[in-house]
Amino acid sequence: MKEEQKLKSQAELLETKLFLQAVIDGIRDEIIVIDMAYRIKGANEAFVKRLGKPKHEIIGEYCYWVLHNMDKPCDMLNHRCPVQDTLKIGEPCGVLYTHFEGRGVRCDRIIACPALDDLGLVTQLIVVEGDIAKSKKNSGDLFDIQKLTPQGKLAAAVAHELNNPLAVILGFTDLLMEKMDSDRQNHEILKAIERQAHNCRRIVECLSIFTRYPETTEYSTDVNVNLERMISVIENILDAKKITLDKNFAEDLPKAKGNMGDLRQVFMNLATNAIAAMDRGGHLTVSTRLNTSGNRVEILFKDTGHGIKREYRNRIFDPFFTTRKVRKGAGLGLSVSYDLVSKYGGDITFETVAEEEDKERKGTAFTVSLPVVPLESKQI
Amino acid sequence: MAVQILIVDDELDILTVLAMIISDKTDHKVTTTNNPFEVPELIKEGTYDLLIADLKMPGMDGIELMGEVRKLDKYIPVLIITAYGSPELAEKAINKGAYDYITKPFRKEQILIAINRALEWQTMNKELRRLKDKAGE
Repeated sequence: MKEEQKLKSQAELLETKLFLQAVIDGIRDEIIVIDMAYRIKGANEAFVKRLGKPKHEIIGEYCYWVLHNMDKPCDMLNHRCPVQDTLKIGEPCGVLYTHFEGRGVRCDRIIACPALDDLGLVTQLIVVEGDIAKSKKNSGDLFDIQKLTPQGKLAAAVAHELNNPLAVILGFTDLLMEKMDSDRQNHEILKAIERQAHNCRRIVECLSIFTRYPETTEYSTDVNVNLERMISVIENILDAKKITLDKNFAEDLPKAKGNMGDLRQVFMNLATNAIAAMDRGGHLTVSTRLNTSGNRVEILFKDTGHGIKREYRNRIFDPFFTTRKVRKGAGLGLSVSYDLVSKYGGDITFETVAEEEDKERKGTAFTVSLPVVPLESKQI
Repeated sequence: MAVQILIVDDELDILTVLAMIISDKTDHKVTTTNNPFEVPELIKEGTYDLLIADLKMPGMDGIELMGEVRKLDKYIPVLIITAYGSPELAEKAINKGAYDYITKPFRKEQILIAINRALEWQTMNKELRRLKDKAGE
């Protein structure tokens, strides 16, 4: 009887296994299961097909070897590994990468999710990788600028900046080809230009599908250190533009919520705007302080530039709003900064006096306010 | 009398390529400017049958410009060209009264077809207004 039950259980187990394999093989995205040592424990057909190797040569191998020909977990600059991120924080993590394969472009979204055991411990990871260019290109709801992540907004700006020159290149090429006999060698050259411009257009289309994948907000930053690093980058520019700098950093400032890279981008945007506003030189003050309630770190960027005109004041955080000349700015700096800061529960406010209002007091002061990270918090 | 088309885009090269496409393929007369603030003045001075405007220009975008133009000419068809990857903003422009939109990069045929359609619409609209006026007499 026991033997019968055992056989029945085995049959059920096999049936479940086959069912699960059929389910994951039916998914067009590539799926692999990785253990804590980065060994591939399972893969679906889509993944095996892309690699072009027999499945038994993939199973048991390290993912970094199979995917990137590396002999240790990937440590590539600007190439985050969602597997490592998930192992660090125990939460699903995702990244978007653009891969160029021959003439084609893949926009891969890779998501790593932890699989937990009965005790709630991560034992393995499920990694899903898919070309979102294929699956989402025509979904129609992708490009509401207001809803895009900062990366999405950046992609939108890139698309905008590239579509203009592409329109010019393709337009002139088309006109020239028409005027030229098709048997001339130059005609072939023009066709090559046209072909390559179309490739660029496809890349731009691919960029345009960056979407809003939720990011972790559990980060903390030493604001003063971060500002010092940013200032070291702009010091030469300040000198060249005849802008003097005054730093007033509060001592013993608690850490603020926010990823160091994100905040550096915010600080850089504000500093760049201040520099742009002082085209005839001026004075920039960067200061930090703890607010009176002790729950927010405030970072102040005060310039003596031309100020913001009254009619522009309620639009400066709008995406693509710019008062700068053509090619000098995409109009995304403040909008992206605002989104980045909001992500961490922070805020950006400003006070300004336009040159037209008062030549003596002209200038703008932006204040970034970020929540303080509680001492007992385990933020990274 | 030749059809008069006014084009405004902050990119000079775009103006050149559009003007070349139109001049090469049609008998329409083209005026271009890279300054959206000049457009109301040009509309006041000239007799344009069609306005082609970029959506994103420094200082004044295509939608704001259309508002200014409508104060001077209620009926001139406006074609919006946009370099954004998505049609949402261009659709907003249509809701605000643009006749149609074209996305960059464009093929010359797209431009020419859109211009033809806008001009046909303009002719029919004129005829409709004339008949209505006549009927109301």
